[in-house]
Amino acid sequence: MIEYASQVAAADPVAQERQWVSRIRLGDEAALGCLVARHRNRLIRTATNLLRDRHEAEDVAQESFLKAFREIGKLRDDRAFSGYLYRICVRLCMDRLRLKRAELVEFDSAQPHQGGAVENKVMVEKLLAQLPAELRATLVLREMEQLSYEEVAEYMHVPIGTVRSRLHTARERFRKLWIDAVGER
Amino acid sequence: MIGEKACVKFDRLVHERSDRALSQKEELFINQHRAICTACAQEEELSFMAFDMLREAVLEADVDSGHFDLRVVRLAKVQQAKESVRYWSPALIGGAVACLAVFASLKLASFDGSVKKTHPPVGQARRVITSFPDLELPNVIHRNP
Repeated sequence: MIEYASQVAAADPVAQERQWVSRIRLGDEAALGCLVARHRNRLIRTATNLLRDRHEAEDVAQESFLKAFREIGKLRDDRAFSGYLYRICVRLCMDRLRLKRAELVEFDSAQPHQGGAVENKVMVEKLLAQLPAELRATLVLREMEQLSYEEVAEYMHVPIGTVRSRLHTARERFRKLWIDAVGER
Repeated sequence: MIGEKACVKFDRLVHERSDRALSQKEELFINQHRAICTACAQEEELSFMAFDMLREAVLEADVDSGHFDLRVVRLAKVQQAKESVRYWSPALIGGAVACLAVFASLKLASFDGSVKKTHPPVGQARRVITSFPDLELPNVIHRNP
């Protein structure tokens, strides 16, 4: 019976995750490792794109895992773990973004669309730094992480309508900032 | 097809195009307006370039996976241990002992002693002669007469 259950779980990632969560509640270390291994890369990638800093992103991902494991007992639905984990991560990233001071944008003489990938990344970083944390997070989750509106709403813990309006404002502001930056050259 | 309203509609549809499939009518409107309004066409091109650059600026996770996993699992174990009662029990016992000690000292401090001022002892005090003559009262030198 147990073997059958584990076979079913292996075929269905959601069921497998559910099984890991219930095993973690019983104190299973191996399940803890499995869950970390499954979400590690995506979580760090999301945090990296939100914060634009790999080391900070790793810290945030670690903190998110620890916080999620601490609260795992309070989780009503075991299937909700991944959403809960990403929500913690996005919230922690937004807290850090709010603390960061927006840097003054200074551009060099190279055209952004003619520059290399590194220059483009630096420019995007500087433009994103000028957006408020909520708009920046919405834009990054949708455009860079390619998440659906539902996922963005779940991770940011806001209604879909709010995601739509924030995304519209964020796109508009980003476009204006980019046009201004190009126009200055 | 042209005018401020048309430009606003064009802008809205260009935004919406990235989130949903536009209808044929909407696509036709965009194409026609783009052909007529140079400013909107230019804005659309710049917008396209800006978001293209944003999508290209994605940073990939670059992490030592094994090290990260071990660290998180280890920290989670420490966290779990800290939260368990066994971890806190010595501290709880220590705290209880400290509370008892404080309570006992407060009780002692408020205790008046065996002889109360309102009840002086009845009888005489006796001088006990010791085996050390130097300590007898007549031999003690008083500095202040």
